[in-house]
Amino acid sequence: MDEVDDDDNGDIDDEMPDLSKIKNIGSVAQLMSSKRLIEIMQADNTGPVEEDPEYKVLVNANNLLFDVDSEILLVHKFIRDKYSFRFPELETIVPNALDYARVVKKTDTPLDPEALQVVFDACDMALDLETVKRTILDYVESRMQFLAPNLTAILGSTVAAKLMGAVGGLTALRLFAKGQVKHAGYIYYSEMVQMVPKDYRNKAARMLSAKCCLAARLDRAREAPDGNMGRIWRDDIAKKLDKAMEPPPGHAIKALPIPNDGPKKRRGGKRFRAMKEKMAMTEAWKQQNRMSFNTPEEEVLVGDTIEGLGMLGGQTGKLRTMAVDPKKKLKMAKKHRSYSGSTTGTASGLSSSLAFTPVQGIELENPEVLAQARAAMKDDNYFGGFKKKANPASK
Amino acid sequence: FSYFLPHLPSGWHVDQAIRSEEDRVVVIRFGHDWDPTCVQMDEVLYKCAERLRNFAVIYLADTTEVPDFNSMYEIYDPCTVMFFYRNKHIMVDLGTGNNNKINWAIDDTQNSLILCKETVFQGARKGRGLVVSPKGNYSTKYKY
Repeated sequence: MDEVDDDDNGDIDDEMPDLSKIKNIGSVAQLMSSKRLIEIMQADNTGPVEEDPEYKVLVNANNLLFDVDSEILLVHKFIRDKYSFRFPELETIVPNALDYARVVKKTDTPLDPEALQVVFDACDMALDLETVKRTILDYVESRMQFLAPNLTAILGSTVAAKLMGAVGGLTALRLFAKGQVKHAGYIYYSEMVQMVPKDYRNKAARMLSAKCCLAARLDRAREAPDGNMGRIWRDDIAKKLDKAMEPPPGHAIKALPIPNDGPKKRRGGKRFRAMKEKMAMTEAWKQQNRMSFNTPEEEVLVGDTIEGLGMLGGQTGKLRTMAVDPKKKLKMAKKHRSYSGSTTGTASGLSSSLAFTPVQGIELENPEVLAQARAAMKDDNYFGGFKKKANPASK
Repeated sequence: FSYFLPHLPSGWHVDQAIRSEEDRVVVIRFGHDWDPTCVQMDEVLYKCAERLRNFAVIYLADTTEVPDFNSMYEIYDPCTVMFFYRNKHIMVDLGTGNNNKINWAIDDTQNSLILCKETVFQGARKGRGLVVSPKGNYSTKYKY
């Protein structure tokens, strides 16, 4: 292409060698004058649109973008190497490649004019590359918007173009089943997925790829040409991701309910009345609660306490006692009553619970023994009683 | 925890607080926010305040800011908690001898304070002026 310098190094594209020796930027950064770029820049003005050749150009343009980026970096390094003699800190102050080029151009550096010219050329190239990049971007965006509006709405034009390029067009894209879209491919590295925290990326990629396939189908069929379905789906996915990333609801402290047992359930009926009668305040009790004036109360020993009798006192010596209503007598519960009468306190199972008194004397008779004794008495002889046993040996 | 519970800055406020609640027991802690007994008590009160919000409301009153009740209720301890329902003072039999108030830092293990308040509410609702504390008596409240 242009003059090749003698000091030119061998592999330019693979390494970033020391470019300070190189005199002309054109020898190093050759993209600018390459055929590819020229073609594409000219292709901006093509007339009528047809799908297949159009998208090829698009794909190429998209891929060119990447190359333009790396080219800019190369140029930046070139400028840096040349310029760091004078001003080494500049690259830390102005890290951005393009701004660096602009600053260098503006400053008034006392380098020798030849070197200065080289540096200036390099700066110009950097800025031109930038314009190229911008043009390509705009082109890709607009054409993608025209070709596949829904897909671009979801993915963004560059990613969409890449995807289409990799896969082979809209037709091919729609033939992919939902799950087949690559796990860590273009979609995974697209903006939407990358913005989401790591744990949710797979989910985002899956959702995105599903919608992309739908979008591709739509675009192939030329429906929804303004891309609004794509936008709708994109919003949907954004909403779903937001919801998935929400923190779980915290535990609210539950307040205790107002303690209200309600009105007491009072029951009626004969049984209840009988129970109430037993527990009720009897006349005798009432008399016991009252005292007569100016007379000392009679007292009795109940257990280990002393109880006063009140108006009930003065009954000793009386022939007739107060009538007791058997209904009001307190009785022991059925389960507490035992059939055998009162039990002694003994814990031993060997002693009988029947009381033996010398007066009555209880004799227990074993009926079997009795029967044997009676049988024995039958065989008994009055005069001695040798019992003749039958000799088994004798015949 | 004193900053979570509402403070009553003057005697009038205390009065209004006691009178205004129609359906809930009003629990007032008399003391100082910096006193260690009160700090402990406030923590316990705060923790059960949320759960009891349907039938009890808890206020804090500083006895230096509001000295009007010191002689009336004999508030001479560092921390005193009293219960009111519909402008009536409710007494609780805690076994300590003093039924009018709780004047030590009661702790709420086994929800004893919550139960106590529930009982106060139920009893006061029925018109009882004295209520028996459900968790037994606190006569041996000092742990050795």
